Amino acid sequence: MTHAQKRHIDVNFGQYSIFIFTSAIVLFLSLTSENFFTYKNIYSIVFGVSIEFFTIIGFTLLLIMGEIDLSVGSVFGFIGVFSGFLMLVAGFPVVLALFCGICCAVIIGFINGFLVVKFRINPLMLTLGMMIMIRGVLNAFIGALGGSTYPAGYRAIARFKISEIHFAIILMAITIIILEVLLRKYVGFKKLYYVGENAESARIYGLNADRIKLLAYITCSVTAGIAGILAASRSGQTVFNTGLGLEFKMVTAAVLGGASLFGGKGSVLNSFLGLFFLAVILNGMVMYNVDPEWQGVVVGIFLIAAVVIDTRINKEKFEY
Amino acid sequence: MKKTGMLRDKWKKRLFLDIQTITKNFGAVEALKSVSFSVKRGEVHTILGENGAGKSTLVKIINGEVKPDNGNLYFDGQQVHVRDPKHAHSLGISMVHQELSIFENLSVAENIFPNSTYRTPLGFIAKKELLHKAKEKIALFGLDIDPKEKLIDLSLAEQQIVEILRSISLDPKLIILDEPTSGLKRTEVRNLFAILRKLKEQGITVLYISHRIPEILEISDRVTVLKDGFYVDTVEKEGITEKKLITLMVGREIDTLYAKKTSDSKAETGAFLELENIGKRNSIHDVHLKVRYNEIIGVFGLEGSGTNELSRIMFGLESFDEGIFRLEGKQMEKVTPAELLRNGVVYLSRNRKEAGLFFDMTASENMGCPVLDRYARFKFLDYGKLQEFTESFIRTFGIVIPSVRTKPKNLSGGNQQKLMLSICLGTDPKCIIINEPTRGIDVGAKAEIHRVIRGLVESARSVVMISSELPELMSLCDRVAVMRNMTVVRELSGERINEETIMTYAAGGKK
Repeated sequence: MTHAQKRHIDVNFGQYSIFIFTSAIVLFLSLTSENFFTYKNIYSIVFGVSIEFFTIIGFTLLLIMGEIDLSVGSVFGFIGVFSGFLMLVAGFPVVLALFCGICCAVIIGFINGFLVVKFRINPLMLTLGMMIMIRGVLNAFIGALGGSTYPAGYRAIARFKISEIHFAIILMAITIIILEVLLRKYVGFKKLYYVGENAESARIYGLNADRIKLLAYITCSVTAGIAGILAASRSGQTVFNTGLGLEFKMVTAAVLGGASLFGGKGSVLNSFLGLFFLAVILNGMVMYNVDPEWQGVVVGIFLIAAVVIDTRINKEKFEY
Repeated sequence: MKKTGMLRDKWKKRLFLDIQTITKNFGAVEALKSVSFSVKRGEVHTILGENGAGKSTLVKIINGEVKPDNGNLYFDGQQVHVRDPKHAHSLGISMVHQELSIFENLSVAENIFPNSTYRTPLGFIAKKELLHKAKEKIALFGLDIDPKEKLIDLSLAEQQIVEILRSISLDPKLIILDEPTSGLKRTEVRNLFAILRKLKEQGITVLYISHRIPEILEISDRVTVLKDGFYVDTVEKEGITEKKLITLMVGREIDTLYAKKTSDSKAETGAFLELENIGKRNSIHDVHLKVRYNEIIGVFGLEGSGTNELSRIMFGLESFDEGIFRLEGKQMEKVTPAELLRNGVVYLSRNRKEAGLFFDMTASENMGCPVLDRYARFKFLDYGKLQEFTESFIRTFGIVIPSVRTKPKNLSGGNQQKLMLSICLGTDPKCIIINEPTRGIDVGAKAEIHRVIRGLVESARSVVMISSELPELMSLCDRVAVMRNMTVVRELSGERINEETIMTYAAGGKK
């Protein structure tokens, strides 16, 4: 009861702060830089976000359950390159290659989830290992492919437009709306919040926490794979270091969006806003001629800030 | 001038701690409403009240953990504004919290003096002196604890005593104990009280918070009763009786704390749930237990007898290696919580803080967890229906809660417990496994929960009640299974359900 009032304010802050932050930074840049608030610039930011966006879907679902997957960046890079490899080297048609790529993502997600659920391994360390391992495989594939250009059919995906708007953006908008509704009301998704809030309670009340976790890990790898395919399609060729550090960007964005490392909270819309916020900040830095090398510093600062806020809001979980 | 000075001197002597019109609100919740009373030097003063009465908030204000909105605090003749617990320490106030704050892997001596009080000139810890001083402290109370022992190897009671020793290592004038006996056995409580009396002899004032009335009767010089944030009364030693305290505390007279059994003997009916020869490595073994239709079967055992293990295995939270688990005559292949729920068995968690509630979700989300599909249309939750469902339970159980959107973390212990019971009953179960149904809640809520449990059987449901409170078992149960050494040693019914017989089997007098 002691914290009742304080908590109340914090919760609202956590949920809506990202709207306020984003509006504030957009307003600030619009007023101080004339190149910022143009259709072209905003569109390019949104398009950039829409490529990575899919990664954050599964990532947010895992955070809601209090789990984490650090291998998303490597999976993102690997699935894109692997699909391209199948087309270039094995001569698979595009659709089949993509299908195999996604299957590969399912397997990676299954291994993560299975090890976490079955052996109760700390997900942070496990997926860190997975991240390093897949990055190694990815580098081997990139080495084999050299700087090859992907087939036209593969490159066309990210370029596909519907009435002047990139397909990736439309898909992102639709996905956000659907997931927003599903996360609020759909029984299957509601279970994530119960498990994240208290896995043991969820178990007592008949939810199969292990199965839900396994499915979420698979979803996480698959969404990272889809994003990786979009990214590879957009760049059109093998790029070294694809998706490097993406996992930390995802944590930062999701936690800025109100998800908690302690589980029980999070929404895909908010996580998207977190991503958008970071993209705007980086865009603003370009406007102000800040060296791109400083980008890492900024993401790092926001990650630390977000985690500090998250812990302050949710530390009472330990006090119950 | 002189007269007021004299008056003040007199006042100083008598009123060691004077609490004047202390008010504290947490948002819309009024925790304390202009509470005033005083504590005399060298007395054991108990603060009694139901959960949510404001006891903890009050002592947290005295200890500087919470700031009052209004009111004054006079301590030892001075007006004080306690900033934080450290400041309280320097004033001579020391508090032992309900939850122990011990260092498990450090020794008793290091726990008693955690601030490295004794150092060599180079800043290292003076081990010999530390041990010596710790021994002194321990001897002062005639205790038998090795100061070199690690805390993790001590019993809960001993750990608690170490914590108390630590709090007096700084020579406080006032020591506050917040429900210190909640985890202790009767003999251990006696030891604790011996320590409190020693403290009193040394002129230390004790502020004691509890809702265990027999203990309060034993130790208190005066008792102050709080209710719903209001000061009710302070009772002098001569006036303290159980009935008087209960009446002040709940604001009404309760004839008996426990609901009466409707009938003592029931016709033999078939078993709803049956355990045959259930066993698990390093856990329970050879357990036979029959849960019949519409009866309450109690399970009693002293600590370490296996009651908790049994309850967890019974609800599939832990697996078992051998034996047969039957439900309505059919052997169950897979004993999991989900499977049992589908068949009408629910489980009331032993410790609501660990599991059984979702503290940071709304009351109706809590209620919805086990019945998601029932309150969904095409797998989409119908929040309106869920809220009506929740409201009906709030009304039936008299849960004090501002709205269905309130989160359990903002409720008092008794109301949390009622909400947890509501979640279980919301599934419309045929059988409910209840683990310590009234742990850490006040008498009023206790009586209501007992009434509900009694009512369950009347509507043809089975109840398995695992409890460490004998009076509760004796008044509610049709049969009592007694556990000892990880197995059920005896089943008692009718006249044989009495304290003496149960304890004889539980403690190991007879086989």
